[in-house]
Amino acid sequence: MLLYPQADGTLYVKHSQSKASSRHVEDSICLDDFAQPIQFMEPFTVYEVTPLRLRSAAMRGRSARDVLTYLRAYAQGPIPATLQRRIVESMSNCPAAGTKPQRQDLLPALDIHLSSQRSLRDYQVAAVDAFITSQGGGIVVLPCGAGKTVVGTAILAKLALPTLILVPNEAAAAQWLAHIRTWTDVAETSVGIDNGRTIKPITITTYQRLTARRRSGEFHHLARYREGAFGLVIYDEVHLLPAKLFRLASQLEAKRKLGLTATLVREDGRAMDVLTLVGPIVFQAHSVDLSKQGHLSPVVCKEIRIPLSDLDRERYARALPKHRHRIAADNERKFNVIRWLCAKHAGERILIMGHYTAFLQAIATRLGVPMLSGSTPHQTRLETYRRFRGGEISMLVLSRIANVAVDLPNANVAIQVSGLFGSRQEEAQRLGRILRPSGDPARFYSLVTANSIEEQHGLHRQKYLIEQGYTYEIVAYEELALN
Amino acid sequence: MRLAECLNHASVKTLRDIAVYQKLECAMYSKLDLMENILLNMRSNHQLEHLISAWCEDWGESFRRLALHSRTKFSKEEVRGLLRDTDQNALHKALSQGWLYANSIAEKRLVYVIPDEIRRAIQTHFRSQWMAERICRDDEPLLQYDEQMAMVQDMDTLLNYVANHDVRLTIGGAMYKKNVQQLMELFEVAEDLALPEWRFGYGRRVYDYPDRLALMYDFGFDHDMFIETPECQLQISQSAVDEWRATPRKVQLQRMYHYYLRIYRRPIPRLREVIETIRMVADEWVSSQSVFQICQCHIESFYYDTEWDVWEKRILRMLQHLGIIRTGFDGDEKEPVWFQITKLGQELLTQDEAHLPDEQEYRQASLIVQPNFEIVVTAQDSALEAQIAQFADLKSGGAMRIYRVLEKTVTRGLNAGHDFAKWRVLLAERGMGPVPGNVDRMFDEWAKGIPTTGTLTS
Repeated sequence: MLLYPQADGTLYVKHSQSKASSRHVEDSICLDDFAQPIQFMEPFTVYEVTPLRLRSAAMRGRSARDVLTYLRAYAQGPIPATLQRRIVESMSNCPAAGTKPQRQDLLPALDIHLSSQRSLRDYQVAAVDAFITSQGGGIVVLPCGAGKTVVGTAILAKLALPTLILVPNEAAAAQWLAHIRTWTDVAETSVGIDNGRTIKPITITTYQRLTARRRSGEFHHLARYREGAFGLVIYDEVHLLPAKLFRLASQLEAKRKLGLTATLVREDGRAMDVLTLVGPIVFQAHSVDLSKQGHLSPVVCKEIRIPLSDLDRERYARALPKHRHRIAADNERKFNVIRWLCAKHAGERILIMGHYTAFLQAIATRLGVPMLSGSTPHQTRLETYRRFRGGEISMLVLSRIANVAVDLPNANVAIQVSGLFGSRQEEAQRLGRILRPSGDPARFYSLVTANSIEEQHGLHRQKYLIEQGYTYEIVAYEELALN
Repeated sequence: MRLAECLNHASVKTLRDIAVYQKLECAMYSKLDLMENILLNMRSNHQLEHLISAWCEDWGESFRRLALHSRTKFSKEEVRGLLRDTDQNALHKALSQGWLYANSIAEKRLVYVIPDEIRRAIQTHFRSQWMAERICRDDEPLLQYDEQMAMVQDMDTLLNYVANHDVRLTIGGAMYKKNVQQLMELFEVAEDLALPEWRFGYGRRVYDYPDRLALMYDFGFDHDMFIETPECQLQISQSAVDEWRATPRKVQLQRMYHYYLRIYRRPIPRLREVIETIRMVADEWVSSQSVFQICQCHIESFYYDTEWDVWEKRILRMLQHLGIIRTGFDGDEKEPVWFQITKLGQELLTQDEAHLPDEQEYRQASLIVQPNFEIVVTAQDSALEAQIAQFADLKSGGAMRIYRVLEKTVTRGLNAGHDFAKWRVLLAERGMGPVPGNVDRMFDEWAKGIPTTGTLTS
């Protein structure tokens, strides 16, 4: 292994081919104990030394000297003074393990076991173990489709503590409920979606319900959740944790906090706050690795650049900058491309996703496929999802509601018509919709209006995925055999 | 020159004086007999050690300076100066003791020499004395600051920065704080920009910049690499910079070290002696305080700097920047508590330019273009990096150098008249893999010189 420390404190690491031949076989510590991978760029992995990882290493009895000795053994250049200081500062004054009072010892244990017919994949077992052995809270990062719910359920079954599960929307809540029922032998009565009256030992609720207020300003449900004395709080899609909820969520006392996410990037730059609130990243798997192992479909990403029609171009040029995004997003010619792509992938399961609902509605009408948006009633949504899963319909048009926590495991083609400006998270989440292993290679098309603001947004949106090891192919409108 | 040779050239009178001083019993009229007896006496380790102790007592500090000087031959004036000789007596006395010899045969003019064996014995004498005085430690300090070649790398960064940015100067001739701050972000070793009020004596620009940057800037300026134009603009002279870049990196560092000696010797006249002492005693982790006491006779306070300031800030800290020593701390790090000479430092101090071991790895510098528009340069190669910097900005320095290509850096390069097509060929040739498709495509567009947003807004 070669390690290149940078002046800004990041470490570029090049793993050697033969791990066995490494001369420091007896290292008492490894890189993942104190640093966290943030980018994958062949042949390097970029690591960041984070205070949280350092602290948890200190809690496990490692010293700053161990870390620095390790770094010196592998470093190919000077180790920056600031980095050395940060390591020493973060690792001193750390409470040793097991000094916190364990209030939850008084909590009743739950009678719950993982169903014997189900088995976890290797990396899922590793994720569960990593969380169980860590202290307090932690975040598990798994790509979309890699089974975050499975890992959450397995941890829940292993800890067997009263649990509160926070999810982003009702559809996700229903999925969790179904999942817990099929994967564990827990009694029907002790698990349920919160109905506002009784608290069950395993309660599933949404972030929205947690933050709902009465007119007087007090929170509807928070007090009830606090009385519930949960031993474990699971934050599903923890990257979505609304900023205003940070303070509230911190009031939910629990022995263990588990965060689940696929993309811990936030455009508001508050990813670190999430870490502080819930805990360090205890396990991380990368989609590229999982694709190689066959757990996720390999993906082909293409960005199609579509010019505006002459009329639209004139409108675009005249429009105020704040309106340009919309004109570029609702490029009429995108419709030709969508029709062409649908014909090309006829018989496959296609999701069409976009930002502005009016344009999406037009697409849905023209193609004659159902469309789901925020205004679609809850029951209709669940019903449509079910039909898609069952194969009754093979195409769906989805607004931003589909960005997260929708389980449509058989989709294999995604067409992104437009997006939320330069959101990296949205891009990754949408790609995640088609990452599940369905046999066919998955395809992700992003339609971008050429020579417009969308091109620059596209560059930014793709950054996270590119850093995770994906590649985009850029295709020009003229190259498509549209006729 | 060997002792036997020195004795051979000496007059009978001198030999007789030496024999008397060393209390030898021999025939005072026979040159051969005198020579043999003196040789025999001084070849006995025990006797020689005895004599050296006596000489040290006689001459004190001046003996130490003369005997440990990096040169072995001195002119009459130098010897008299070093011995603080006001009349002829001191010189005469030194010549009659057997460690200093006048010689006019080998050279055309009269020189004074200390024979090699004697010199070595004196060095061993002092060395063992200091070894007893220094305080060592067995384990390694917790924090270790070892800057290695960072100084020459940051020099490259500075040159590229000035070459590719519009750097204006104040009326006083210094860069604006904004530029200095940007440089500190890019440097591998950043310095505090808050400067104390009193600053002078350590180079031309030490008043304007922190110590390390001041040394780098002065070095560049004195070697004609920087031009301060009358219009208050800072530019580089391409020919001087090209010449500099053709120099091997260790030689570059050594030249900077020699420049440091030249500049800092004015406020610290005995800098050479101090560094020579450090080289002898600091082969292990030694305590700064204990070595300070050994060197204290060479160090004087300088206006606003106390003796300890000179030692700590002007000597140890600067040697650390030059990669010659590494410093170590266990907790509080306000002052270097421990230090040790590096392998690189040994080379720089003892080898001359032609014999500095070359670093093979630096010749194989290659780059990787990443899909997120970053260019990773795996080993330092200043000529290659200078070319990359034409169309890219340094994003982070360190063991690896990461450059970032943006639309604006490409536009800047095109405006400066650089050849973008040639640059892309360079990336393809030196790259470890092909340029990623998305990056190549973007380059195509940027090469047209049409900004992606500009066409529609006009």
